[in-house]
Amino acid sequence: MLKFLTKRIISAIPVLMIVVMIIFFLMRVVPGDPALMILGKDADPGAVERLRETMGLNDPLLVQFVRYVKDIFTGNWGDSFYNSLPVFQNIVTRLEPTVLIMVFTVLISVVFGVPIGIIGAVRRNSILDYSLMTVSVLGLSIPIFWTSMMLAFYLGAIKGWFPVIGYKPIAEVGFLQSLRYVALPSLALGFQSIASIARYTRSTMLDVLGSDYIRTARAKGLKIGKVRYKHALKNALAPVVTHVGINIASLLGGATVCETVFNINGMGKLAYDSIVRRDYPQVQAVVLVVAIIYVVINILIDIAYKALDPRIELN
Amino acid sequence: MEQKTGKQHKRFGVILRRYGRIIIGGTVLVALIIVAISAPSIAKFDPLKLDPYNVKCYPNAEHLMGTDGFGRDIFSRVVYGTRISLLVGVAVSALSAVLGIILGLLMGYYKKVDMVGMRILEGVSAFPSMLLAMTLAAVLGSGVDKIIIAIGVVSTPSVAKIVRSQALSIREAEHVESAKAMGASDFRIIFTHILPLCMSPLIIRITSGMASAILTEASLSFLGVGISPNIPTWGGVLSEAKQFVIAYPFMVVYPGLAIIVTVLSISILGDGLRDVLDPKLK
Repeated sequence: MLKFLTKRIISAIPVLMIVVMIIFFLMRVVPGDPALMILGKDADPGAVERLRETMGLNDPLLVQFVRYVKDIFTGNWGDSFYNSLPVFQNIVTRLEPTVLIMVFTVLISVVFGVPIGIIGAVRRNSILDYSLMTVSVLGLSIPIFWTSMMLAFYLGAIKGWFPVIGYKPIAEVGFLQSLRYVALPSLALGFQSIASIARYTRSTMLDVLGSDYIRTARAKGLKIGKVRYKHALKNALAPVVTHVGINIASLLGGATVCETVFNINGMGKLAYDSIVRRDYPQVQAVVLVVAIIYVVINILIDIAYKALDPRIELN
Repeated sequence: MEQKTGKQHKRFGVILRRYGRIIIGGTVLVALIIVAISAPSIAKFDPLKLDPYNVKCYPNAEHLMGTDGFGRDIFSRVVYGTRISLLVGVAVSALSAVLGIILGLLMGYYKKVDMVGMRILEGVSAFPSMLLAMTLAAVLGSGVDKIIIAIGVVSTPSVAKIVRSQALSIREAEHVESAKAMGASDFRIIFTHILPLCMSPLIIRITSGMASAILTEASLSFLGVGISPNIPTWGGVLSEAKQFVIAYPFMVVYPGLAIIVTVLSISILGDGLRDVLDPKLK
């Protein structure tokens, strides 16, 4: 287990290096001079030049890259152009709603998506299967921002069940109240995610149901329900867990859209605002944190996977 | 005689079952393409013309989908929006297909390229594609061509991964070995002996990629980091309608339905193609 753990963590290092490289070079090809952006358009050219020198923007690109990597490791992530606070601090204060939305969405999508997928597979090619799968294609075809607006209109404005805008932290209004604020964005995001998990569960379940050992189990005289839900389901769910992990990245992207529609000050909105404001240190930091979260979650999933199924080898 | 019609009926049923989704999805898509081409004759109004006397009109015979906060005819804007959405969908698919095929084939054929390439692709997939597309769009600036590049680059890795995994297994096939023994060049082997066999999963992936490209473009335009507001796009129309959603829900409903119908028809077409081209995947 320890060997597996170290191997898995080491294999994440090149991925993170690539991530850092992509972010660095993306931000360097951005048009516009960061020094000019800090000082404003009408700044004295001499002052701009001095700031460029102190920021190290005149050094060769490779030197800048090494320094950037060093800064990441020493925790010196720079300050936001927008509010001059350390970028990391800005992220920490915005983390709570995003984490709530993610957890809530994953919960919703697993609780609904997996059973729908199983029903589809078990009742394959029936009317029920066709209608469930049609609804899930629909789920994947509706833009998240549109679902968000429709939910805000119906459940928020007409029914008045949930607040339509903003977010209040747990420390202020308590956990349940905070949940009400993230309910609509999570539902909007969840609708799409349910669809993708249902489709995926259905296809893995069908794969397993068609395999030899299931036929053997049936031939032995085991009850069909036991074969389906004990023998088949266990093996069908393993790939679904990985699928959920890989989906985290697209959920984080969707959270950006949802948080913007519902005006929730989460990390996704921070990313969006920073991109629009051209607040590059902040963009760099958010994207890096998101990528790290993604990599860490996927390591954890692999470990859980390994713990559940000792046959799995790391390749 | 009677028996024959019975058989024909049965055959018709089989065809419908097998190709039904392709027919439905394809028909809607073709209809949308016709709408896009003949937009000027379908739309009664100039999509950009402001009409201060007819602001926020409810849908009526004159304005089928009502008018927006500036009095522009929403139906005309939606009709013109079809052009951008389909253009982005097709162009992004083409771009990501070309880039993805080249990358994927190189990675699948040369082990050394694969080592580096896979790491890069893993790195790219650690970013939410939405966020990456947004950043790229902001870096490149607004414009249809730039949005196409931004979304195209972001959707390349998934195409490359599919081509790579196909190429990896085809590389070991006997017909490739015999081509090698006959002295065929790498270039020839890659493009005439490997690529054609990668086609079915590729076509499936490109169709679903087209659907998601249209969704991504709509989201970017909705967020205002996409195509400039002067060009009518579905995302842009919705973005302007956002503030009126509670008082004038029709402004949000119809343009949204346009996106859903388009993406849905492409997805259904993709599902149909998958069932026909790759019967193993169910």
